[in-house]
Amino acid sequence: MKSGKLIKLIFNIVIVLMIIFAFFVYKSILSYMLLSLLFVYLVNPIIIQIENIGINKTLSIFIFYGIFFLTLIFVGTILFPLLIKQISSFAITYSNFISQQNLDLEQLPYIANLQLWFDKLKDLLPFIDLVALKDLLIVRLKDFFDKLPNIILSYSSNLIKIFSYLLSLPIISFFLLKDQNKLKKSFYLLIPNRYFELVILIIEKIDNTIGIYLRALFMQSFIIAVLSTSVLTILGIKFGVLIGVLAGILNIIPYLGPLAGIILAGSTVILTGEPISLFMWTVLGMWGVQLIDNAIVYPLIMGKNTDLHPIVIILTVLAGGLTFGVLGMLFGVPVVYLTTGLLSVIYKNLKQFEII
Amino acid sequence: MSNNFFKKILKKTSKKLDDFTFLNKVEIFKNLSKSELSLFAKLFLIRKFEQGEIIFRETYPHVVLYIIKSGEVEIFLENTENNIVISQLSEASHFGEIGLFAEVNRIASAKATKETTLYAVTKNDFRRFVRKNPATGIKLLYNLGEHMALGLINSNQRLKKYEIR
Repeated sequence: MKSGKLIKLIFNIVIVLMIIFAFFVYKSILSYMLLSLLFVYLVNPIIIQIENIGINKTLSIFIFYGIFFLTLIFVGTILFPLLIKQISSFAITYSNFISQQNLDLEQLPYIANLQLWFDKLKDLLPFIDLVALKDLLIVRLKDFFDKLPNIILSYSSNLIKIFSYLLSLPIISFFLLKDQNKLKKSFYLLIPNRYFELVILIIEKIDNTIGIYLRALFMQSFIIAVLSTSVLTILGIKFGVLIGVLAGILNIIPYLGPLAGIILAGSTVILTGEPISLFMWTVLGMWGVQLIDNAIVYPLIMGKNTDLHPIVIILTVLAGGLTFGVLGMLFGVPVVYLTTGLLSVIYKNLKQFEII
Repeated sequence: MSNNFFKKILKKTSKKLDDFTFLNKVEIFKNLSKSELSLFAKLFLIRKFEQGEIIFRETYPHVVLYIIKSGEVEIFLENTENNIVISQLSEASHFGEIGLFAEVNRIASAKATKETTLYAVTKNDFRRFVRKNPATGIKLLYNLGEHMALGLINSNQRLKKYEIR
């Protein structure tokens, strides 16, 4: 009895050591594997759609890959060089502007607007030193704008890396997609009976809320990017493709993102010395894109509101910006939304299954 | 050598046939062809339970439909003094189908009274299967409807007996 326990203990220690060792061995490709998982997750519904026409799984995957690679080739040969060209001259324009005149951000209308918000907030939350926070944020933003040209330039060389990453991602994913049924079955074999139905339920619910949210977010960003790019190109604005893509990415942030996209487009028109009428048209066009988004795209793919209060969103963007910089501002809201959603789903179901 | 090879093939096919004859015995698979059955069998998740192990409890959410591959399962209502046994199910029976049609929690508890192997089919997988294979789906749904109608008749008769007494 005692030796049995000892053997069990040793066995467990060996397993833990092996897991740690495996982690170190696989560490370098861990991000790659996680990204493949994300890729599979995002792409799977499309493949299921193709399968539903009556095509078998492997062929469906190949059809999807065909479309995917064609898109990548299009992006790589036409869009990508255009984007690089625009990025470098865009960075030069902005850095010229900054070196010419000391950019006073507080003079910009958007920041002045924010100031109003802060005054309201200050009355609401007297116990938090919002003024200091605001100053810190403005310093960060200024810092970011000063560094922006360099960041964009260094990113553009990284873009090539990201591109090759994207190109090879589907290869691992292929097997995950093809054998997902088998993988799913062997995954469920690992789960004890007590938690079996719970795990299925949680995965299904996550898929229903978080999966749909993530897919919708990607879709929405993509559609906004395409629409904005078309509008800006039709108007003949410099850096149209770049601003369109940036507007799509910024759209991840609710409420503030669309505004930032419009401001980016408008300020670029002014900085490149175009007439003020074009500025009006640009703002109107970008606003039109937002209208289309709000009236058609958003209800169609999101279905329901992300139920975060605007104040929570603004505070999250603020806190994310203060702690993690621009990336924090961009991904703060999705991360908060996903974690609260995840926790509430797990908590509710643990309760229902009488585990807690 | 070659003898061995044929034996292997025979064993494999006989195992498949065994599975097929087993699935044919299951009520809800009545009138399903071999190919339809093998397609549906892809949804099966295998679960093994020890004797006396609880499969699910009353009030737990409804997630899967179970088919008994081997062993025995007791369906019962939990009571503070004595559990009320509703039915004793054996091989090729199925339980937990109510959740496929109504968004309710489990209406009774289930326990393995022997070492038991179950095939589990999740609600979502089932619905997706019916949507994707409507012809097979109609057969499945009719069989399930028949099963539940018979269950209703059965409980009505039980109620009648109870009233007369």
